[in-house]
Amino acid sequence: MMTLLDRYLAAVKQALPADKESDILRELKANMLDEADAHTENGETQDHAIQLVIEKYGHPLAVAQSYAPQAPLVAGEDMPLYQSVLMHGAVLIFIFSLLKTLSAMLVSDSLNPFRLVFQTFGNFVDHAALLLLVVTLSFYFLGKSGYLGKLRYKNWSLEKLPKYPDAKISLSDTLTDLVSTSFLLLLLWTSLWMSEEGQQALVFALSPSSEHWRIILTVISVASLVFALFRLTQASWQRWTLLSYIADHIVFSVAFLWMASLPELIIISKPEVAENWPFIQQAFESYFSYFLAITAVIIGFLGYLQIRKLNQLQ
Amino acid sequence: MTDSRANKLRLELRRGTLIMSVLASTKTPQYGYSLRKLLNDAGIEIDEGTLYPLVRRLAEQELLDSEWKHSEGRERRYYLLSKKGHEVLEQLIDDWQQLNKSMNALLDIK
Repeated sequence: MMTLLDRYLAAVKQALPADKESDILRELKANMLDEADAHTENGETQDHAIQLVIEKYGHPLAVAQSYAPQAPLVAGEDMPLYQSVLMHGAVLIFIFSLLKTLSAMLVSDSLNPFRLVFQTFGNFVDHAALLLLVVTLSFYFLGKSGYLGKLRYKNWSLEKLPKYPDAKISLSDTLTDLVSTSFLLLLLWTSLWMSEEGQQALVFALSPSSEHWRIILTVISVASLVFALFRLTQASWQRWTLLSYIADHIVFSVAFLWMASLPELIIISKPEVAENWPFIQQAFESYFSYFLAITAVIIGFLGYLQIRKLNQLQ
Repeated sequence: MTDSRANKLRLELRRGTLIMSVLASTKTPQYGYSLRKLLNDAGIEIDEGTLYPLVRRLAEQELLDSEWKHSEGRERRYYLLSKKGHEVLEQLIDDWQQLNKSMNALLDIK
């Protein structure tokens, strides 16, 4: 039958690394017996002395931790970078999940907002769990190899201190830009990712005379997308980044205004829709230009707000 | 300031000196309990949960040499200050004296 001390040591052993356990337990036992001897010299029985020593040492896990401290998966000094990587990864995964759901809805029969929310959330949780695992393991192994320690403060210099640290770049604005430009690209290039049946089910298409707008919008959307991704790496505005952001708004605003002025930009690609539901065609022809013009005005107004912000950076 | 906050600060203040105390006390071979008793008798109270893991860490850093021996019918691990430990202790003593001088001046202790 195991003694009380052996049972206690067995409990400590559970939390010790295999390569050190025999050495630590051997020393721990020797020390505890010496401590117990000191109690017996004061008149305690051996069993009671052992019990007193064990109670003094406390929880077996705490003892194991004091002898062989477990290294954290992510070191405290790496936490800011770890949180930043997780945050940006989560933003990208959210955008990916939203676009995945939106593209699935484009080819489905119904546009259910609840489905949009729940499917996006489900996709996000699926991928976020993997992100957490991959990022944490990467930090653990990179930290253990010493690579993170070399990298941590490497790129710091006085010149790189932000000039306007209070002019924070809004993450939600960047997120909105990433989603909207990615979705626009998906709409422009359905031929690259949608099945033939799905494409045939689409009601609207660019008119043959406006095909060049596919290229123009692709170029400015890709530029805007790349710039939005770059902004994810920046904490605050600099003059040139804010000027670029304003230019981004102006280009989109002008493009949308131009498209609003075109007589036949988008057509109804399914003749049966035009025949069976002529009011759709009429409404579309009457209001689509207004929709584009209003969008252009909104984007222009947002650009104007950025110009006011630029004046504050003087 | 609460007692627990004051105790934490006191522990922080003592933490650095414990290493020096252990190194200085292992110029002659000591096993765990004998070292704790030696320190306690010198007025440096330290509980077993702090001292024994600390001694192992110092041995892992090669500041202490260790050897298992049988004495009084029981095996014990004896620690002795290593050559590297002697050098480190000398440096720590110099630093301690310098720090002590500065602190005495700062605290206006004659």
